[in-house]
Amino acid sequence: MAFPTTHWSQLAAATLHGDSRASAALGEFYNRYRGPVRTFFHFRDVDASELEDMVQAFFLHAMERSLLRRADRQKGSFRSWLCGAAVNFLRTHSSRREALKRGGGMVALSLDDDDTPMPATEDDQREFDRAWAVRMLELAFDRVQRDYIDEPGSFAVLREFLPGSSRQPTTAEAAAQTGWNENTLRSEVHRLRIRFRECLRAEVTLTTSAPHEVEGEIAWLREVLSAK
Amino acid sequence: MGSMCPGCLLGGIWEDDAAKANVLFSLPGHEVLSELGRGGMGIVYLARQFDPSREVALKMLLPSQGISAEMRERFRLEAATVAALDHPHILPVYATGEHDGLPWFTLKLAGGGSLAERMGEFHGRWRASAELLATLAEAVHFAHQRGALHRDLKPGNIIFDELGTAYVSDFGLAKWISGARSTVHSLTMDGSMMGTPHYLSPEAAKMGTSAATASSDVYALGAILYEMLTGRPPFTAESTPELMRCVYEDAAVPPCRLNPEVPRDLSAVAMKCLEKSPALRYESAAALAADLRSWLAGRGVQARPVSGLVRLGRWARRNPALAGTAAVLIVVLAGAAVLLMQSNQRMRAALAESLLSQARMTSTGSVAGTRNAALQLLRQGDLNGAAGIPDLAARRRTEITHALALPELSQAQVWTAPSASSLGAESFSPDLERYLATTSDGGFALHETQTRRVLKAWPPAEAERAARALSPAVRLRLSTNEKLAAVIFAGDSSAPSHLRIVSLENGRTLGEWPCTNLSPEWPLWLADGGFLFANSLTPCLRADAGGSMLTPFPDPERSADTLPLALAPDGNSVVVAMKSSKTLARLSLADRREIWRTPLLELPGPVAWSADDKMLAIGERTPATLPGETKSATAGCGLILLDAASGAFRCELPGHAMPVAEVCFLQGGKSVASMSSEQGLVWQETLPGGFHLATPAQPRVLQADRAGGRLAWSPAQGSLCLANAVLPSGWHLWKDSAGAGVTCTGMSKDGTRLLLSTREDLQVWDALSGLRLHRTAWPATFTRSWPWFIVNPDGTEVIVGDQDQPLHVIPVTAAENGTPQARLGLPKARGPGQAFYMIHGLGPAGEWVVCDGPSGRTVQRNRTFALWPDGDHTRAKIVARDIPASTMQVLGENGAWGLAASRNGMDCSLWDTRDGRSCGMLGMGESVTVTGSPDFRLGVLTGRSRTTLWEAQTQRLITSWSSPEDVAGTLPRFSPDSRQLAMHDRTGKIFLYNMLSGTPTQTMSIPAKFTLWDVQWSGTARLIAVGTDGRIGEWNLAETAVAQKDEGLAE
Repeated sequence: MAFPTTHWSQLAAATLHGDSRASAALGEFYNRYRGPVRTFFHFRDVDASELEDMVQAFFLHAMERSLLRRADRQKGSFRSWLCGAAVNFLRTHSSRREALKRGGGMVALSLDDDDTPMPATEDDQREFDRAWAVRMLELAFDRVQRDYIDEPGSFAVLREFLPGSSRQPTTAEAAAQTGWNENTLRSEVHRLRIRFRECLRAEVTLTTSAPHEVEGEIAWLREVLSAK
Repeated sequence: MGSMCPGCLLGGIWEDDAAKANVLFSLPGHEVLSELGRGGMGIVYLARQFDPSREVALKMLLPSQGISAEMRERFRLEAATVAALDHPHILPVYATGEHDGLPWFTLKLAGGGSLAERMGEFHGRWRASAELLATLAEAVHFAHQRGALHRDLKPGNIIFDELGTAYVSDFGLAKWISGARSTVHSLTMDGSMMGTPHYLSPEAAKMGTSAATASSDVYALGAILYEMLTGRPPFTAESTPELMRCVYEDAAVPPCRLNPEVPRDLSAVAMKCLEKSPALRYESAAALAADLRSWLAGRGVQARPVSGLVRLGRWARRNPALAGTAAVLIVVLAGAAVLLMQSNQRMRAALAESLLSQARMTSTGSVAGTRNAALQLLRQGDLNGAAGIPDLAARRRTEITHALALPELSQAQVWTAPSASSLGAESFSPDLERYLATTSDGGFALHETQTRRVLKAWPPAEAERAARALSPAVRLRLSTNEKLAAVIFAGDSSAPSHLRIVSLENGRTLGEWPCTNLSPEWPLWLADGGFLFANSLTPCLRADAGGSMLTPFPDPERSADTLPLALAPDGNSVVVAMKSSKTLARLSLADRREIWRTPLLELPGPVAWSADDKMLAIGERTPATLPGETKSATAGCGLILLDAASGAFRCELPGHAMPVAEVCFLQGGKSVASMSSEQGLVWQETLPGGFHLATPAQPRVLQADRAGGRLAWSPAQGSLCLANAVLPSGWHLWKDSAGAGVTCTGMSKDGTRLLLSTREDLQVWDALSGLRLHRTAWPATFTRSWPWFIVNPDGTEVIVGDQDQPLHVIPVTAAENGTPQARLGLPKARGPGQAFYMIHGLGPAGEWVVCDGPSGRTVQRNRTFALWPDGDHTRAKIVARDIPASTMQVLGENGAWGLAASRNGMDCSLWDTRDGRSCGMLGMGESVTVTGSPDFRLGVLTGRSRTTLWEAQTQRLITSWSSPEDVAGTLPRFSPDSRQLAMHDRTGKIFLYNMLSGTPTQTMSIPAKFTLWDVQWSGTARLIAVGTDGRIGEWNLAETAVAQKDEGLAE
């Protein structure tokens, strides 16, 4: 299937000659998408003590080499490109660590060896896509949660009515906990579901390169998350 | 999300909407059908509108642009601006809205292609070209008169409908894009976004499109005409920088010289538009249109004056009937002159309006260059001559004051300096007068900054030449005494990167160590001429002045663990990181004694020491360096300020998205500049919420001079610059904050003691130094619902009211040693029992103006006001019994008049305090607040719509004026000499009035986000502003006056 492209390459181009706004946007980006990279590194057995360093090193490495700017959107999906770059980074990095142990600290790193990412294996790609999709839902969930910042108690109850919740109380139980009557509770649950959809759309919109790609991207997320 | 199942969540919550065939997505009232194109300013779709049914072009911000709230706001603002331009040749906007957080608007769908595509049709068709350009110029003029500049006129933005009608499109979008000045600059560099600057005026090419004026649009129209006449734009060049140079240096070849068939008059019209100096171009787009119309009518053109005889001949040919009637000719000419003058005046007014709004728009960002750009716009002389704009001079003064209160990195010198490596390779001397740079042969050279002349060069030694070609010098540091240099040579497959310390006196190598060249650790240059060096691979070594003695530092046991980071300004101690324990320590250099030690979470990035020896600034390499730091997810790598004397945490400042690569203090420690390892420079005040300025920078060099007034960095690929760091004039934030929830403020009459109350405590501040002297918590018996107080004139007593309490007096005692130190004493109750009294002020004889407040939770509509001589309630005298008023001020020579403000929309009532008689109403027709002047002579009533000034003794209305917007509910404040009045709104605007004449003098708007709670005068030339969040700042009117004078404003 065709993957929607993201605005990474555009953003990176702006950032590499950019102003503070561009770099702030990049920082936000880093924070949004380090999740999938971290999950993937974890999946590839990166030591927990090194995980954060490695994720940051990966993004830094990508910036320094202008990799993002050169990422060609025509060649395929951005996600698979990012996944491939992460695979390559891990490979280079582990050989460097080996070399550190062997050669007392000095190893020459070719500057261009990972410009063309190796194709990721299907397992890698699947794990990465899944981490990406989960991250989208998390971002949407965080956004919804911020709406309820003044009433964390009621959110804790309402969230259990979202699909996928581990336990679901009865309406009567929940009404008693929140102090609402059951009708109010039902309409609040409805409101939360609508709000969640809005937030997910907003988050997904940010990862697409144009507004009309949003529907397709959400369909893709569903496909990724429903695959076992 | 905790333990939720993401797949179930998404599957369960998303119901499929029935997708329609051929519809990408739907918007209210529209279906989006297909993409027409996209670019730097959004995406354009073909869409179907339902009512009325028609196809439209739908423009929407791209998600990458929609991330920025500012971009969204500007997109909306511009859609509104264009929608307001109702002209037959400006592409109309039909509807606006928002979808998935992205704003959109629809435009008339003009399917006839753009002028860029149809340019060929006009070749050789001189009259058609002139006709089209006259039409466009008229449309552009129409927009200019409404304050909208296009700033991106080009053939691609002129589009035709199916009938061949031409429209100016993308109107104003260029304006918001150029608002992000640096973005445009950077994107122009590789020419990817802005297309070509063929139609960009020299002033815009030189100073950025924010410097563009109406005249720049005239230039662009001329460039379009030029291309229609000759088939090519006025300038062509192989690269964008070369083209830019041509635009502001070269003269275009007249079209009639390129093609002799081009009518000489039309050629002259195009050339007049393309004049380098805006003053020599047509004064307006209307004048250009008129000249073209004149040519079309067979008359001469203003652009190419012809002799009187030729003109007469032409006129006689056209008007044979009139040819003999000289008298008629004279009458017509005189009439035309009057008309021209009037239109000229309107034009100047429109230009002035457009300059003012541009200046305001320009100076809202926190990007370097905005202050200079705004001042430049405001300096343009036309403003003074423009008639027909109310308050033009005052508005200009306000804008100038606003711009002056911004900080600026004012580039004094910019030069081309291609870097030998992408990582940067310059290092300046401490006074920035010289710099060491790498050379193309792999060596390095010392340059004089002023002239860039090479003072001395160190080419690679003969034996090394081949090796240097493979591993050239890529980064370097000049020692503070300019006798040593640390140079990093790039590694290659055969040799690793390494750092070498070289004597610049004899070229001798003093030491060489392996290193990493991405984030190198540099030697610390010591005052004695020696240095300290360590990196992740090398233990810490101390070298003596000659560099020959290398000893482990601080001792052989700890040297492997020590990373030197910064040297104290006196050169006697050093801050080091202890790698194994992740701590930061200050060590004395003489005896290696540890002065303090503070724990870290991560090894710090670069560290700078302020020249006043008070602070250390640590650039973070990772988002959290200190234990206990709580970071929001988007905070990135900030700057941490530590107290240099104790190592204690002072505050954290915002930094960069990516690790901090360089940091240096300016102005002795008042401000700090930092650069990220990836992009961008930030210059900010060393206190939270202070000024913050960002500018593009390459990760190459960042250095401040010793005095801290100048900064050197690389603003773009291949260039270096030297800039003066200009501090804001007028507005200054105080270092400490009062804490959130300020309820009341007061000032001693001499302007030295500021008192503040919050719900938690009462605070006394030294208003001159901005330092808090003392704070005391409210007594436990206070409900603290809304503590309210009055300060007596000499600032020695605070009289406090609180719910269900008697009034309390808190003494403010001066310290005995004569310093401004002051302490708050214990509160003493005054007044009867548990009753709740509110104090509103003091009368001329020091009598307290008191009313009974609401008791408990019920709101009492009416109140009784009384005077307590010397605060003695047993001698209380009732002034007004049971009246629907909220406050009262006592005025008049003997405190004879009480002015009571109503609170239910009634007018203000006047009471004789001697007999408690009502003397009538001062009509305002709306709810007001009352303020009495310190000399008890004047009273000001502020209502939502009007403010009136009264003389108390005669109860005479002196003057009245329209209240500024949103001042309702704030307190006007008189200066201590009763000659000035400061009013303010909540957004940070302060309005000053002269109380002798009752006229406005100036408006200041605080150049940062500041929700203003109250202002107080400290003397007659300083205003202390208190924010709702407890931040305090001062507006120094004397400083503003000096800066205004430098800008040519009279007092």
